[in-house]
Amino acid sequence: MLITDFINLTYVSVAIIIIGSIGIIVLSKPIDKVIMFGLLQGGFVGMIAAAKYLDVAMAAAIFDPISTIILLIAIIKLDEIRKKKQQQKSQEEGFIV
Amino acid sequence: MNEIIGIIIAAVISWLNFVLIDTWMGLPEAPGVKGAEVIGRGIQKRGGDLAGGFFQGNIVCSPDASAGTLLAAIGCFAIGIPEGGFVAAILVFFGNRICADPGYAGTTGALTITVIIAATSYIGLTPEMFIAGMMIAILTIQGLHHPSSSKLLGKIAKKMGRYTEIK
Amino acid sequence: MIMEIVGIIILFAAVRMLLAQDRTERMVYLNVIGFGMSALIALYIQTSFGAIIAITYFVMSTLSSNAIAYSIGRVKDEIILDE
Repeated sequence: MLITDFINLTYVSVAIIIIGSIGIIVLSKPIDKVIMFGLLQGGFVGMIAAAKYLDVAMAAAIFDPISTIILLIAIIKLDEIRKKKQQQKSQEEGFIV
Repeated sequence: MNEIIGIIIAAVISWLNFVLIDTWMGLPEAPGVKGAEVIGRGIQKRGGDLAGGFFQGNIVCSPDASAGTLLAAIGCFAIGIPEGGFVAAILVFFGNRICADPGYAGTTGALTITVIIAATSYIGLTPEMFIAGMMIAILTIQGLHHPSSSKLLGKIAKKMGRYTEIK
Repeated sequence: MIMEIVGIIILFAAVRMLLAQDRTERMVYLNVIGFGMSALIALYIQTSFGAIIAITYFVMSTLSSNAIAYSIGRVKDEIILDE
């Protein structure tokens, strides 16, 4: 009975935010970090709704996924550039050898 | 009606609603949006079934009948019994267009569960029980062990003639 | 009682997501959390606008999951500079 007193929207959102932040800090690859960032967004909207700021919650729910999409476009672009550079470097070494 | 019995009955009804409507509309056959194929191949690599994997990928990446069922139950709880379901069906339809998904699985699921919620309100099942029941149904499909639940979904797809042709 | 059930499901899925090995497994658990947070917001704010917020949050989170899954397929193994 005591534990179930603590399960309301505020505490669940705080727990999700903490788990999401631990995931972002501990995991090393960028796309894993973006997945944990999605978890953090869920907790964030929940916490704003628990504080009854409903219009702010609506704005956060609409704009957070748009920012995730922009971040993913950047990650894809950077990875393509790095792969192309690695390919060029291995081709040059092939010529020298 | 006792709350726990009501939640169990609502869980069974919503499980059947979303699995049968999704399988009938062809979700295990092919990945509807681009992200679903990645998740399907990932589940296949971990020992699951490919058609079940495409089903799970379609649940994650596009608003399908599972989304329609949950959002119609939320709408009926907060707005009122038939009106809430229709509001949710319209918003799910917009979501389908935004995701560039070619099907109507979400809207169909939302409308059928609205009819079921309206009918079972005479027995004593409230929309709150349908919200909890739908969460339990999603937990059994996506929260426990993905390869075994994808094999179960693949068996249901084969029985309804919607198994995938892709290797 | 309904909020406690949904809250326990969310926390269970979040812990499994942190401890998962494969990326596609994490995406499926993220979808469970999206369902759960949407239900929890609607159950807490019991007015019509709460339902609209929950539905909008769910549809946009599905869109972002679609984008993440597409990038997982596009970038199969990233190159990180500090190893």
